[in-house]
Amino acid sequence: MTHRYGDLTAVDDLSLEIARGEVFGILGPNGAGKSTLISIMSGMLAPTAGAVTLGGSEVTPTAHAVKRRLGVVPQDLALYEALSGRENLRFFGRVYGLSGRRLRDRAAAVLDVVGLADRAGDAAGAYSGGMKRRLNLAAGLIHEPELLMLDEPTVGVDPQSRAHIFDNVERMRRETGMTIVYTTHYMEEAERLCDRVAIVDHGRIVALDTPRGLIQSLGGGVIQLGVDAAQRERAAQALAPLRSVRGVAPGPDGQSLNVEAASAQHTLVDVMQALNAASLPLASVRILEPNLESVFLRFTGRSLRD
Amino acid sequence: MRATFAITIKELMLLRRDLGGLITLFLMPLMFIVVFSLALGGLYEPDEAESLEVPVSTAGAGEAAARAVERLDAVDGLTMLRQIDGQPLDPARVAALVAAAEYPVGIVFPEGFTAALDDPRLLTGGVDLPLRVTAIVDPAASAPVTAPIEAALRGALQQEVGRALSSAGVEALLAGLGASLPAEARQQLAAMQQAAGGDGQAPPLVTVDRQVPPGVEREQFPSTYQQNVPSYTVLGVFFIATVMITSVFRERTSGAMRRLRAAPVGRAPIVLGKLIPYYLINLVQIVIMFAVGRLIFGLELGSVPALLVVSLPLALTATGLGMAIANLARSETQGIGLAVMLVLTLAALGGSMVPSFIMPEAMQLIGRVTPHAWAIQGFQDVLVRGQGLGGVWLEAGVLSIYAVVFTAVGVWRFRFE
Ligand SMILES: Nc1ncnc2c1ncn2[C@@H]1O[C@H](COP(=O)(O)OP(=O)(O)O)[C@@H](O)[C@H]1O
Ligand SMILES: [Mg+2]
Repeated sequence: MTHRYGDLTAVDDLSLEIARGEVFGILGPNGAGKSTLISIMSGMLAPTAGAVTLGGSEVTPTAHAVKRRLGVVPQDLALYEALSGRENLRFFGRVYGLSGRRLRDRAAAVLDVVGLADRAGDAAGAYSGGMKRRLNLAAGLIHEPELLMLDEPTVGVDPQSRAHIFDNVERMRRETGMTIVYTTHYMEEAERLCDRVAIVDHGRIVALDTPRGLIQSLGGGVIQLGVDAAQRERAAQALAPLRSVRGVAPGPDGQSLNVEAASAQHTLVDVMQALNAASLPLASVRILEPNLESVFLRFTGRSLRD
Repeated sequence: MRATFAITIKELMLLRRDLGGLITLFLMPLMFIVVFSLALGGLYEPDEAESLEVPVSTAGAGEAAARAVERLDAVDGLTMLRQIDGQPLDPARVAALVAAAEYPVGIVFPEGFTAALDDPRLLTGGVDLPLRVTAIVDPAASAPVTAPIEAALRGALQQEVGRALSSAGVEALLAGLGASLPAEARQQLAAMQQAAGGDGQAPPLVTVDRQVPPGVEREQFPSTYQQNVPSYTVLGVFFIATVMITSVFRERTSGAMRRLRAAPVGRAPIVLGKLIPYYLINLVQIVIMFAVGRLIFGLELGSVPALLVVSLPLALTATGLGMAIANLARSETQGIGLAVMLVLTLAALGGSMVPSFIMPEAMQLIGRVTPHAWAIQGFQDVLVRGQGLGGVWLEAGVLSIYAVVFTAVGVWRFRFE
């Protein structure tokens, strides 16, 4: 699918397939197009081009039968602050077609799941930030969707609520086999929760694999060298031929080189020797652990937190 | 359907949490009625500086009528219109002018008025008495405007009657009877003279009949409350727009509207769920306003079904306007600003604040463009002119057009964010 806001292409000819029962991560910095993707996949937004299907049925803003099988937890809170937690859930439940006893049971059940049962009667506006996030999550679960989409559910959340949300996601996949799409710009969340992760930048998938596969693709990790801008080119030429170096890329700040290493420690020795031999001074050295952060750096040349 | 219901209930629950705002909304027009009725009860009295024009027909009524008209003309603040566009007025034309609300009062002298007064048999039963001069009165004009005209007319007639009584015929009669006139007869004569003023015990020679133009059913002058209750009710219901705008923008910024977009509901239930609660509130407000008018200010309501037929499209016009502004405005502040400006301007133009009939004609015409003018006219058709269902279909129809147009714009431009 492709989506444009005027001249800006937020999702750029992107294709992906998510298996039933999978927890699928979408990792990318702010502005990468994650929320736009979620909006399209949840039928809130019609893509400029392309289509999304759920088990063969196309998801469109008017495809109500399909939308009923989807749950979405928007990045921004989507609650009525004047209503209590329970009233919010019952309202959204009704909108999804629940009623009567089943509605009451489901509201009670999801309040339990997110740990808000004892505060269910309080106005949502009086909740802490983390509690609002949990209620936001509960509202997406009320109708027991087959596929739940969580858009950065942990942004600005206290550690306790964050742990709670993690537990919820892990429990849901374990107990209900629900398919979950989880967007985040925290790589440790993607690493911990997701079966597969798509790294998205500028509306495109730059890498897609299991977290382990992505990390292994880095090999031994990345060494970030601080070098003078004027000598960066020479340094790169000096390092590229080394056998223990798998790749060299300029850092986004103009002052560094990212060296992809087969084995960080061994490569570091080779790198130091080569630079010394060429009389190139080093301002700093950082060994980046092999993790999704480094993977992201490798594929985009940028840090996730930019 | 179920979603519409759910959204409606949710909206009402939200409103219940914000009762203060609603109460203000309800109290404001009531305050207007009380304050303006007490403070400006005499507002509708004729402007001293401006002369009030009264069309008059003296066709076939002779010199006595002409003299009475001249006397009325001499009264400060009154100008008699004997002809319009060079055409002398006849009774039908006078009635038509008043019925068209162009003039609050018209006067018709009966044919043969002078001849009857000059008839020597005036006091001996040879003439059908009383002679009826008719004041044709627009029931929608207020009493402070019409009463002085009628009083002046009585005064002018009294002088004519006095002249007739002291005329040759009466003198001859008195001379013929001489001093032998029995005390009884003297009394009767005196009574008749008095009766010319209209309040004697004997049958008066001339009476002023007050008449409503044909086609207008009940004769009644609007009290201050008949003016103010419908006017401020109409002004009040349009303020619902501000509450709707706040609600729509709050729902958008809360993100809840986005979640609704992900839900399996179409635009229609969302828009309806946003319209229905405010529509109901408007109807309740109208009921309260008229109930207060009835119970506290003693306003006679007339045909309640007819009032309802005006109220239903009026309430939708107001909510439709709110929905349209909420979706055309870019921000809440802009929307509320626009709504307040529109609500007050339309109310002023449409006669909610100042009655249309005291506005210059051009302004009255411009006012016709507002739903307010139609609604007030519809309500007054019932309250003042005593009309039933048959009398308000035009106003209800025009209001329905406004309602449909405003609501359609709101639905067509509906935005989730
Ligand atoms: N409604 C919108 N109108 C215009 N541009 C938008 C809109 N929503 C998002 N964008 C732009 O599209 C790009 C992708 O945004 P978004 O999908 O929100 O990214 P993410 O969720 O990854 O931070 C950004 O450049 C953003 O500014
Ligand atoms: Mg986002």
